[in-house]
Amino acid sequence: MITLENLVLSYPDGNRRLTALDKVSLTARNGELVGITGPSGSGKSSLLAVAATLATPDSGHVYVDGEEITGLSRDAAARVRRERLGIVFQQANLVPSLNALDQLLAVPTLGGGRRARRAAKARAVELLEAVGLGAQAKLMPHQLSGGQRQRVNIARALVSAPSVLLVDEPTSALDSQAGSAVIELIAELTAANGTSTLLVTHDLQHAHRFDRLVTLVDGAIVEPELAGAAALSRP
Amino acid sequence: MFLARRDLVFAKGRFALIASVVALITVLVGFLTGLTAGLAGQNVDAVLSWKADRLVVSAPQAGASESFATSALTQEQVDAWRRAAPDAEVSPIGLSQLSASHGELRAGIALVAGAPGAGTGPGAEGLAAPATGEAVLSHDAASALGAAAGDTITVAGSELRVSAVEGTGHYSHVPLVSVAPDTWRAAAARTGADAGTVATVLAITGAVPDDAAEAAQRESGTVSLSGLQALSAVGSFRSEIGSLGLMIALLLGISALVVGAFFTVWTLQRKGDLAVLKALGAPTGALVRDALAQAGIVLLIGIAVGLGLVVAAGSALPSGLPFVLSPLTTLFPGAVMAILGLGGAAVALRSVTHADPQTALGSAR
Repeated sequence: MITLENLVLSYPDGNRRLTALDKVSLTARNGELVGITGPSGSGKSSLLAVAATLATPDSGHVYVDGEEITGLSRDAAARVRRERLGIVFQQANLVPSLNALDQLLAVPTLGGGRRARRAAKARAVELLEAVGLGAQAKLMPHQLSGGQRQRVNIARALVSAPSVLLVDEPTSALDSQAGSAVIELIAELTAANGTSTLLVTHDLQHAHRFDRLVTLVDGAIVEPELAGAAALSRP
Repeated sequence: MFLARRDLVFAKGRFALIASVVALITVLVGFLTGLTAGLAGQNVDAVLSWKADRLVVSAPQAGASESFATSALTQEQVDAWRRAAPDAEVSPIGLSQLSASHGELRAGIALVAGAPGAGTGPGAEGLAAPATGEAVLSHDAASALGAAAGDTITVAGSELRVSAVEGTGHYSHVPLVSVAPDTWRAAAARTGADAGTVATVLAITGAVPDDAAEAAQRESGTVSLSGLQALSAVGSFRSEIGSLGLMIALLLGISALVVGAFFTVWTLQRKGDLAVLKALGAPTGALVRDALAQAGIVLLIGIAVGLGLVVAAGSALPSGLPFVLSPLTTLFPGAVMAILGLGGAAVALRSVTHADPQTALGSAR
């Protein structure tokens, strides 16, 4: 379970500060897929960055399974990301020199050595099977289609069996069919693994697959009835 | 080395290119080092063979530096040092660069004479001094003059019977010919040495108190030299070794810069990948170690290939060429290249630590 509590984040913007997150509180329970939507610049990516320990909030707290992960040292934050969080990037962001299987093994190996790699390998093979890429494990990124690369991206995020999955616009680079398949896959994996998933998206055609949909406007979560109006009034 | 090995295979063309550059620089450094050692040997190995704690030469004229070429010691100066160092062994050594002939052949030689045991024979420690009127030729001198034991050569107008051919000693790039002290004195007198000259240099073995040495220097108008100081008194040694050493140092510096430049570009190209891996939780230290290991592999392969070429080509060189093939002229410069190259790579790899994992969110590569 991940809990975001009163998160405030601001960036310097010329002589003033721009508020990216304004007292945001949000919880995703185990096995729950929470969609986060909102217009451009509403703070969706900032929310994900703070939840992923990639940005430090001005105030507020982030808890994973009841344990606070805000304000950690660089190394401790890296360990949390490696062991307890899974991140699915907007683009697949695969390392060009690694085949599909090695994409999943890279971070466990770099972070934990041979033993961690052995443990990760069995799970990585399973995950590639689960995302339908068992036969493509040895293929390099340039040999995979866009949808396949995004599936590797998802499998990579799950290799450490994280309790939290943070997903950033996973369908933005895919066609409608591949996008639907990816959302379906994330929903299935969330339910199957009991993961708490925060999924940032612009694309509301898959909203029915979310357990909950949260809308951000100007860095704050708005009520559902206000969210509709905001979505209509902003590009 | 998870990433290192896979990157090496993935971008094998680029890594082969930089390894080839490292190999070529290693070849240059290896050949220059071997040549430097060979030339240094041809210049000073006679001096190095003298088993002395300090060498004494004439005090130079104002503005000049100590030189074996201009040094001429009298019996009074020798005696002054013997009085100053009663417990040390003071051996006068005569040394002149002359020409010698044998039949139609003429060659430059270094005529050397010293007391028995002074190590003044052509490369043979403890060689007994030849008798008056005789000469021991080093192999290179014998070869240049076409002479063998029993032949007669002419040096400074005197005929000398070759009693033996042995050793490989050189002084100032000409081969040694060893003679008896009185034979050397006669030759020196005939070639313009000052009257009363009995030696060029004193080889002193054993302790000499500093104050006694200073007093002897003042009294006798001489200068005592030790170690590298003495080598710099050999004409051209300092400038020759200095020039070659500078070239080697520049090549080593260039190799570090080339390796550093390559890994700077390589790491900048990978900065996005590194940000992704860091965002996923890869420790920065592990990424730096992996990248350094990659640089180490490239350097080791390049240096090993380069040294292999140096050893192969160096072994095939004719024996007369001034080229020394030894661990000091191959493994040592190779190790220095590896250390400097890793240093260059380490500086370049600072970008690894600067890769911001937050940029992985929302990035399209």
